[in-house]
Amino acid sequence: MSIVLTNVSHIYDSNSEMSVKALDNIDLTINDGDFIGLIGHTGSGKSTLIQHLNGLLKPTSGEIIVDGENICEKKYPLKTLRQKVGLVFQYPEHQLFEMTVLDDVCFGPKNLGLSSEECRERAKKALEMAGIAEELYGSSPFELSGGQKRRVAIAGVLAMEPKVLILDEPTAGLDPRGRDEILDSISKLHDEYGLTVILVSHSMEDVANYVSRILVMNKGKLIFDDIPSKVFMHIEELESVGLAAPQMTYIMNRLKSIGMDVNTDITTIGEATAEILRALKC
Amino acid sequence: MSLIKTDKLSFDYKKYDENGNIESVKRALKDIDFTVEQGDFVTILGSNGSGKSTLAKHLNAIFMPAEGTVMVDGLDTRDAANTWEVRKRAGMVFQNPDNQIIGQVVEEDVGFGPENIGIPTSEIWERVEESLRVVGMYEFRKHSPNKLSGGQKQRVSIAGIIAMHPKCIILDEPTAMLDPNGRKDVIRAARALNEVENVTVILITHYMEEVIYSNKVIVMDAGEIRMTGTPKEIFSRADELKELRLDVPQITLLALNLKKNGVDLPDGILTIDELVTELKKLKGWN
Amino acid sequence: MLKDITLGQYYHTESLLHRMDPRVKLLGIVAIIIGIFAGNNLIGGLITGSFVMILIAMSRVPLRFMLKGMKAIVIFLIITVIFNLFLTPGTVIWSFMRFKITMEGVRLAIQMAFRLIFLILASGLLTLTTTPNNLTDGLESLLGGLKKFRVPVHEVAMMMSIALRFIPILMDETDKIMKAQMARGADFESGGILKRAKSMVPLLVPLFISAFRRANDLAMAMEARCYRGGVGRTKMKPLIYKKRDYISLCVLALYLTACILAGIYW
Repeated sequence: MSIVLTNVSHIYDSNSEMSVKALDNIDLTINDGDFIGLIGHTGSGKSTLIQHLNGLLKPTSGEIIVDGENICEKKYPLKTLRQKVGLVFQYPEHQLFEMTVLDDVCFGPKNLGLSSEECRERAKKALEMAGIAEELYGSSPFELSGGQKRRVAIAGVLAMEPKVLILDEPTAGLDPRGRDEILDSISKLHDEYGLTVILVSHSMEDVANYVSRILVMNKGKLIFDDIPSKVFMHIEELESVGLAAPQMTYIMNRLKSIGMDVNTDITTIGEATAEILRALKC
Repeated sequence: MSLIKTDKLSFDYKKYDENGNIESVKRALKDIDFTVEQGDFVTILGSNGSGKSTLAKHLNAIFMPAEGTVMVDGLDTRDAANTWEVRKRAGMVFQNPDNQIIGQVVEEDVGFGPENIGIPTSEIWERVEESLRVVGMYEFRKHSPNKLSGGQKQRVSIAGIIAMHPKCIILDEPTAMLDPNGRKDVIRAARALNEVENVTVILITHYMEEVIYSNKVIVMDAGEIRMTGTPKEIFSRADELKELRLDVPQITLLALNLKKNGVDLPDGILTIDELVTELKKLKGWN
Repeated sequence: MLKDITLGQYYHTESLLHRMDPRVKLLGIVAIIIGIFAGNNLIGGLITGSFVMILIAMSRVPLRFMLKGMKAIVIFLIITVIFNLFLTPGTVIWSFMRFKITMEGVRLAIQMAFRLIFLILASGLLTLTTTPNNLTDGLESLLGGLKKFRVPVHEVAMMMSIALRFIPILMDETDKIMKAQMARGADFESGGILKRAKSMVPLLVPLFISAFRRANDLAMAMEARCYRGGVGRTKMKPLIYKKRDYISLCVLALYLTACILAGIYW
């Protein structure tokens, strides 16, 4: 399933003097099976963009084609779109409301009009995908730890069985291990379950470690769309829009500047280790 | 005399049933002994639920120890007569930027603390101006907090504490909800406070990169102190940290990886500069 | 949609009205209410109308910003007008089946509409030009006498000020939770009353939990900053009547006299 955006713009408060152009002529194609990292300074338009992909916001101009259908048309069923494109907001645990974990995850499938049997089936599968142990299904979601709550909330979206999963800063506020565990689970959703994943993140390291394509936004415009090592070559441009490259990229640049013979298109610790070892040997 | 000293501090979270009887007790802090000296920059590290926030809330008398004592600037926090004096001397900034700003205008919020402790009007204005300048938010003094970014709101909260002229400021995960730029600004403000104003800073965080500026690090797990030392000492023990759900800074990790592969590097490298210097030495380029 | 409610929102700019003592502004609202009812005719209406318009112009708050805040009250306004228009007995000027519009009804509807609009504009002006802290300080000071009767004036004022500060935050939160549940297929718009009420559960439960968490955090933050009620507190911005406030009080008195005279002699 592909999502194609052509010339998409979005203006908030378009009829007042406080109008803000949150998206400015975005052209973008999201392919089946992509693992995308979306980065940008706070207020760059990232969250406006992702809300367009599942129809929570409508473009002021331009069109969005999902699976060959224009989702901006009045008669397009938004519920179907929201089933296909799952969106996990920041701090998703704040949306939990049911008495038990399983009931909460059933909320999505129930809204799709499935039988309660099917709902439970889907919920269980989603909880498993999100890495929640079966003995927790009956507990209150409010008694879980922060990391577990977040997984339950993610399962709540997975239970819709989306083809595309968008996560807005899924690791915010978690400790380092919690961070790694969530990211590993997400990566599994892409690799094993074949979901198309869009990861919104402030951490260049996380993005560099996991995704295969990076979108960079600034002031509502898409300024880069490429593989990580290419995007992070543009350190100066990234810094000028309030972003940075991963630390490894900085190290390699420093080493090169003191005359070490290293490549600078390095983004992860593994790559950096190998490259420095190679350079030390010769 | 140490500015803060805890002695065998223990604390329980009690859960009550519908009739008000104690249903279960969870020990959140166990025999914590720890001291902070005037002028220190101490970082408390620990995973979610390790007890670091609970400890912080003991340092300004929001929580009272179940067992043991907490002394702040010579005052015992268990003595109700000391509560306000303790809070005046050890101020606290919390995690959520939205849930601690009371004023609708930045300067009014910063003035809230001094108002509470009965500072005369003209002096409140002096303190507000000075505090907002320390955190670099003076030009925003007339703004509504709702229009500020998370990092700016946190700096306003810090100013609100400084205006009470505390000896010590406790920052309870002030950067957890911020973006990288906001985090940098808040940490910069905390460092300025410590270095320029000589205010003691206790920073609670789980961002490893924020630790390197402190002179003392405490690592907590399951309500206990598991490690104490300088950042260099702590980050030399990468494997132990990982067991406690923590990590080491990226640079330290790279240096460790290189070391495992036979490169002769010292332990606990924390900055790019250190790593570059060491690699230069290895190559014999000085 | 929720963001359109500007009521209770401070608009930051420099103007005489912004600098004016909140007590004068509060008394001004009282004066306008009395003025509206005392000057109960065309001349009275004109006096109040031009008075409010002059105040709006003086406040330097963009009119568009003010009117945006009124959107939420338009429905209330329309209902009032319709009721008055159709349900007032008198000389019929237009009828259709069982619906009749009378001369008196038109008059009353216009009158009510104007009264409401002036009231809303005036009170909107108050909150737009006065920070909630300032406003509650004013109330606290005006009602200070009640403290003698053990009315917790300071505490109530503080509660109001906090409530006002958290309105926009909770609005934002509502918006976020709604969107998060919509992403899970929730439908807040269709269905009968019962279904709609039920569909609010996934919105209200998280909203309440969040509001309680915020209240808890805030209480802790206030205590950490040595807040312990009104006793022993000093003021950063103590209320002192200045020359402009005395002049404003005189203007208010003039306005009120004009309204009362208009009510009596026309």
